[in-house]
Amino acid sequence: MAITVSRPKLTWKERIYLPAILGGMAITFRHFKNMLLGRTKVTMQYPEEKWDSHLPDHYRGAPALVRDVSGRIRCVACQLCEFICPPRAIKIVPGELPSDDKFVKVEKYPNEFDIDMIRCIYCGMCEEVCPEQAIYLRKDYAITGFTREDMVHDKEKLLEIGGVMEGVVLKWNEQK
Amino acid sequence: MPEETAKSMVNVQVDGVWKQFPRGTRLIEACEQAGSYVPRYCYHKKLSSPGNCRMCLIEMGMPKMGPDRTPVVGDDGMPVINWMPRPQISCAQDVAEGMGVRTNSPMVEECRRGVMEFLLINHPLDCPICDQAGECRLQEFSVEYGSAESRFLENKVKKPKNVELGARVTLDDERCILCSRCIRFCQEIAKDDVLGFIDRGSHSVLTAHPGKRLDNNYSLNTVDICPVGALTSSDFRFKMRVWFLKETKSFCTSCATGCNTVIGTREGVIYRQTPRENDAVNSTWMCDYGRLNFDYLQSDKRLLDPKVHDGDKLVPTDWKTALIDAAERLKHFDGSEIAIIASGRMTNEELWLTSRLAAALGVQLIEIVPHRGAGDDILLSADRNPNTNGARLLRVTDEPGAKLAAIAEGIASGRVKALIALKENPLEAGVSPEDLSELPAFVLMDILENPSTACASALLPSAGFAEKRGSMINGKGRLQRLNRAVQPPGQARDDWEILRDLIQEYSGQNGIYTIEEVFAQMSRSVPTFAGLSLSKIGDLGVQVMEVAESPSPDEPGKDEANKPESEKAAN
Repeated sequence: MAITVSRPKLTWKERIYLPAILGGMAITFRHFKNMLLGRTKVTMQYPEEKWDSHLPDHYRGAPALVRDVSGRIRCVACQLCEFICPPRAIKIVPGELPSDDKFVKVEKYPNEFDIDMIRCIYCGMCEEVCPEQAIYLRKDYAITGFTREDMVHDKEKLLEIGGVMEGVVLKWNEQK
Repeated sequence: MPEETAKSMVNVQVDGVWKQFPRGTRLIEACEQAGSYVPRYCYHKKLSSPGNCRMCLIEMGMPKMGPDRTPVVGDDGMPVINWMPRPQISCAQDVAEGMGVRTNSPMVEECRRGVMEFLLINHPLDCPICDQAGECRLQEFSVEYGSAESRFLENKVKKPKNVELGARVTLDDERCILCSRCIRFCQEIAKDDVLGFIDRGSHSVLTAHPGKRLDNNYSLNTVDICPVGALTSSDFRFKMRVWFLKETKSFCTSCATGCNTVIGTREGVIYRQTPRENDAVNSTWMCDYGRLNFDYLQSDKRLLDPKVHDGDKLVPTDWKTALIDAAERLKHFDGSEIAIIASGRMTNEELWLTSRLAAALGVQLIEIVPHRGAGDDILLSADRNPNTNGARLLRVTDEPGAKLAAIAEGIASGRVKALIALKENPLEAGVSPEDLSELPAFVLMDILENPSTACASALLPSAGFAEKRGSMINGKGRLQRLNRAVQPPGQARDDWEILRDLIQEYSGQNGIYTIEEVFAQMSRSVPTFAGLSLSKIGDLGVQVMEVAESPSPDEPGKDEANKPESEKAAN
């Protein structure tokens, strides 16, 4: 069924277009004048210039694994993030810490930890579900690569992005 | 007065509703049957009740007695209940006439919260690394009765962690809640009293008796019944979180007992096998030998592609070529020149198709290979073939192994010119390597590479027990059903499909497209299966034969017991 759209009745002033054209030209010349005076600043020259320092605290960039102040990888491979991840971007292969390891009390660690950044939707559920405060969404947003394999962040890459996290609960220390 | 009841039944009021239970029912079971699950840690229905966890506290009352020592009857015609002022444990109490129970009163809830708080005082915050997480009673009841914060300000007691209790069981004493299920299991079921508690108070720990280890063949059942993460399987340790596992009901094919199991898989990988309750077969237990006997399905030696002999080596090919090639090789020979070595590890459907194949070829020499090992009087059977009874019923064998000597002799003397081996290694059935390599035609269907696979003129990779559907008859004559937990790897196919296609090469289309149709055709020709179908077998199986206990075979036949690898080499 066709819907009849009623067209607005134009006045003669509108029909000759000249006032609208002149109005537009006035704006153009104002910008031209501002540009000549160096007052216009609307384009940021990315990637030479970046807005990173303005990113809000709650900004959700690439997920990353963190170490604590003692250098321990905080992840214990509980696989809750793998379970909760809506696009199933995370793959973890757990391993058992050798008995001579400095942090053997923790017993378990991620042998492999892959996040497929093609799949990741930056939802932050992994960070929210983590019982060990081990995975955080950092402010990295320009995740690029030439192949699909490049886009899979392995454990080393994730730890590199993550760095050291201070001020988190140290529940695996001897006191418990 | 309550209405007349059979002598064996008693009236019990559960949460205000009068119900009848058989005399001798545990109160905790009666409550569960009435729909009020009572939380418990130490109580296990197949073990004795020590009553030491105190989690199953309930409010209980007995009928109020009048001066004449008869129950006082209330307005509703039922006895008036005198409630006891203190809670009772429901696991060490049988139902009695006129008894009353409250399982969810404020006092009961308060008791449970109190017990939970005590149990959690020293419990470590281990859940992220604990294998029990996801199926942990302590977690489950914490949701209902735990408090969000601990009021315990002192330091927790340190106990041994990551203790190797036996070859297959790892103990974490900090997680242990001292329920004693494992101790009672070892005493009462496994008859191997090796576990006990030492020290007192909050320093009390579970440990093995001095100089003893938890190494019996039933040790992993303690892991199953451990309500917390104290006992964990060393094999399954840290492999996979339990909530990822897809659970497939099946049964164990490592011996003739056929313990019912649940196979836990994720993304095509088998991670564990756990027993499933079936009181007609295995109660709730299974042996470690059968439980861990699945790794071979994921070994590097799996046959992945059908292969045919071309020149002097085996070359991979597609199924159609391989099957036509296998059939062509056999067509050169008369039925009397062909022998079939089948397997007691094949399902009924496969054995029935084997007998059809034998009929199509006119083969008389057909036999299964007996596999025997040391049995025990708990679950493990000396007959390590899971389907000997099926093979007998389907006339693939009269006495397992009886004709093997004739087959080996026939091959050696040249009277037998072609051999079809199904899921068995002919070299272990008495055929010499020289004879096998010189055999004009040798069609082999198997799952693992073994010394005989190199001699095959046509090699047909098939599926393991967790990769196919079908039925078997266990040592006591119970028909049970296998379900597919994972897909066969590579190009490997269901055994029944391979056999059907081979038969079709001789007798054309036979109208069999699904395993259900195999069973349907089989049930028409075998009276024992009349009226049955795969779905009617159900999860717990159907008793189809009356089998006298097989003659006690304590002496391990053949050299099977010394060669666990070869035993794993076939399904």
